[in-house]
Amino acid sequence: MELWACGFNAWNQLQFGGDLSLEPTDLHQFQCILIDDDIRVVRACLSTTLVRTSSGFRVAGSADDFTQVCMQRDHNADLVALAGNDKIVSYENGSFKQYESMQAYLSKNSVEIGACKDVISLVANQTSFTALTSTGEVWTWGDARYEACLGREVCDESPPTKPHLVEDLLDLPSGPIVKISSGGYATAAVTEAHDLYVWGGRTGQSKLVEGLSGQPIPIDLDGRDFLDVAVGNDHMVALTTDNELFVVGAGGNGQLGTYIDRLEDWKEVKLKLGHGRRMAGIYAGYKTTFVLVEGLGPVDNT
Amino acid sequence: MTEPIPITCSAQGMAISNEQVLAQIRSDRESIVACEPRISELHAILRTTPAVKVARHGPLTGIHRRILHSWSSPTSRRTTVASLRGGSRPLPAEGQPAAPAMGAKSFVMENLQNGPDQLVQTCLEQTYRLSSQLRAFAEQHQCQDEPAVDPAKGNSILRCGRPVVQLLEQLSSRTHSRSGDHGLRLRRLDDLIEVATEKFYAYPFKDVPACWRSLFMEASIVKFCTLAIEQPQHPGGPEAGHGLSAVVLDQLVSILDMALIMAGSPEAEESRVFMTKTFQLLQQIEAAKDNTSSSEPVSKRRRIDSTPSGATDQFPQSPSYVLPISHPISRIDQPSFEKFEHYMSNPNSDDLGPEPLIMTHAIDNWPARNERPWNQPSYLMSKTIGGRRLVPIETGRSYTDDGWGQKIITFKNFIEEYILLDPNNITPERHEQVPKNPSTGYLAQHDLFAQIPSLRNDIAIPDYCFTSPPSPHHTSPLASKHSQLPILDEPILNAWFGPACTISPLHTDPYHNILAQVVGRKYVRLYAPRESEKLYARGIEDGGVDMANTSAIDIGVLAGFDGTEQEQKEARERFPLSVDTPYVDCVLEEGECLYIPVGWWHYVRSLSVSFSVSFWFN
Repeated sequence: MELWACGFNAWNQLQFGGDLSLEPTDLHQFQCILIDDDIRVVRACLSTTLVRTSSGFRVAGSADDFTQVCMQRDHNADLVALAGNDKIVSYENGSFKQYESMQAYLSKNSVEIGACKDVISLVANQTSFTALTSTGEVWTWGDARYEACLGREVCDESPPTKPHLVEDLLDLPSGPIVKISSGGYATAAVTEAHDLYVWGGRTGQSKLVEGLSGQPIPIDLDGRDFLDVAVGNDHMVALTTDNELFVVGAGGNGQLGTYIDRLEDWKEVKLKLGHGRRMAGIYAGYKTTFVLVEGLGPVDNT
Repeated sequence: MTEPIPITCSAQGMAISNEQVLAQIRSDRESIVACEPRISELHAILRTTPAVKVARHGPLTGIHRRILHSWSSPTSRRTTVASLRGGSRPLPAEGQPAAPAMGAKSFVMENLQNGPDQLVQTCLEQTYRLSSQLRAFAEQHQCQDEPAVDPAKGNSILRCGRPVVQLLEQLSSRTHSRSGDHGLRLRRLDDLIEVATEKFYAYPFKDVPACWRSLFMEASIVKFCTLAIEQPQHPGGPEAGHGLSAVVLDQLVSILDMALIMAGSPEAEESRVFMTKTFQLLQQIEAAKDNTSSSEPVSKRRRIDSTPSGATDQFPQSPSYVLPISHPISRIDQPSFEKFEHYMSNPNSDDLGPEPLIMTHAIDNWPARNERPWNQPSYLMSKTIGGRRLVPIETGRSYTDDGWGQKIITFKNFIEEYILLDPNNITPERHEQVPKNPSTGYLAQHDLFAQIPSLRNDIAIPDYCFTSPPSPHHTSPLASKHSQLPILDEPILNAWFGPACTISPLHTDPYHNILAQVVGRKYVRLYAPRESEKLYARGIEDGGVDMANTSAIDIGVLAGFDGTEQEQKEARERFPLSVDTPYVDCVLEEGECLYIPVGWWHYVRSLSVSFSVSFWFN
């Protein structure tokens, strides 16, 4: 298995071991940065990348406090999330615990903000949290100033700061949601039968994708089916079932895998994968993009 | 929910879309070395400037401060105000020598006559100091899990986390040693400034942790130093004898001003000293340039400098706006301190409290009205590093209107696009010069004097502000709220500079006010606090913005100054109680001061190009 990556690299967060540059440059093209029998990106943030391999955790870059705690506590990283406003939420024993800051998290000083059954994934962007249940329900909450990030109606019965169901994502034609990703001021979700939905946006910021709003909209790239999605701070990446990778948004730090500074529309980027290899999953960090590559064949990490 | 107002960017007065800005930034990144004209520093940040519509004169007040760098809690009004003004952390007064950052090296500076050399020296010292300090912080951080952060020591930046602190330390250190890749360093500094800017959005403004403001400030300073120390070589070499090209000077000023406006006065004492010192040096460099610039072809010189034959160095004279005065405010010729205090404390009617009063000849001795004339554009330009200083302005007719916005532009742009070419000021023969986007621009409620201390020396705080005014009148619905405000150590100063027809809608302020009219004339209409219930105060609006100090009435329409007769009729029907509510009004003439007692509702409208200074006291 290979981990390919591109993007922001000020702290060498895209290089595992080897000679580290004192002035690392950003990677504007996807490169293979790690090879192992089993690789999973646990967390990629401003300054660091944490992955789990067959031999345990590997860290690239300069680990921040939260990443260090993640490693120490070795908890299920899918069920704890840190937002851009320093709030942390964890899902434990059927309920969401919210910590107001890193300090509160370290001292385990939390407030229970709601209960929810069978959460399988919990993600955060700058100001909001999104949780996905095993039955495909999507729950959101966060800062009322950025209501669009919640993708749902906000009223007395469903206040912004408490977890609440996104009703627009129920009973979708292509089945329940099976994957979520969040970053910056946007969130994306993929359904069982491979449709992609996005919502979010912040007034004053150019829209990440056309039509982005507080109501989830489907993304149509000539009818392609989507396997996975990843949202970074100001960019988004989508993987199709036909092994194509599409990118959109800000690319100034190379996070789109091209030298283009910004893409208003989706564009396919091609990785120089060896024969017989396919992209199995994607992940986005702050201004970084990761692709997990599987398949037999000669290793080609040029 | 709060609806942030998009801030538009303006280059040469033209609104630019995000795409254009991005295109500009793209091309700018590539041209850092080539040194093409660029104002992208401003754009890059403006693109993401947090903005939210707020009541201008609420107890929090300070619209720009609140929007652009209001980080303190709503109750600590004074800390907020102090951020730019200095206040609790004053910028050293101008003319006062800046404390040497490194004693051993200070003698070098005194021996350097050349402005640009001094600038380089100052930047070398600053980056040396910062990198040493950050290194010490980082070591401290390694010893303790949770480093004690003490704003007094200027070390709150530690809270940005070790990776950020270390990167900034390296960038600062390499700037000092002039080692490594210059372009990449600028890129990384921009990356750090962007990280800080993102935090300004992620938190409600009052909750943004101090560390991110510090990061914005310190990364901006290092960026400034990088550019100042290693100026890209201009084709044909630096302009004879002056080292800094006009383009580099634009860039340098905008980096520091953006940091001041976005992040407030620096937390670290040394950085405050650096700011003051640096602006003085840039001012000197600009002045030296100006003295020799006469060799340039006229066409290349700035528009304001090149006055066409016959024209004078003055603001345009407005077509005579005449507004009827129906209930004139009494005037008194420069009352003594005691007389004014007596006036305030012994109102004609106890049901009314102290009433508004115009004081004439009270500011005749201000340099701003004499040898340092604020009514001359060239003087104001000379005080703003050739108009390069950035100012936050409001665009649109009134802060209660839709389409109202804010932007940060150079002082020169403001004067040229909004004052000299304001459509309300254009005489028929100059109509072809009307800008494409004729929106009103108003430098409103901005503490220009903290930002540009040399302008502060052109005025004086009227003695009247040091009287003991009566507490807010009991008939004011906000009296108890206003009474709770702490006593100010010194008055709060704000500049109000704009073309004819700027409007401050009917509102109240939380302090007594002396409004000094330095340039031009303004119409002011005031209603007593006891009339409050007839004035349709607004309430808590979208996103929790408290607009209770602002009336829903558009006095311009109600009084027939603006709009059609039909609109006036509708306003009367919509606000019936207000129609016969008694008021007083005046045209505040140049050189006069208006005393506005706390809690009095006032509607202010400029009748010409106008520059006023308000002094809030309690």
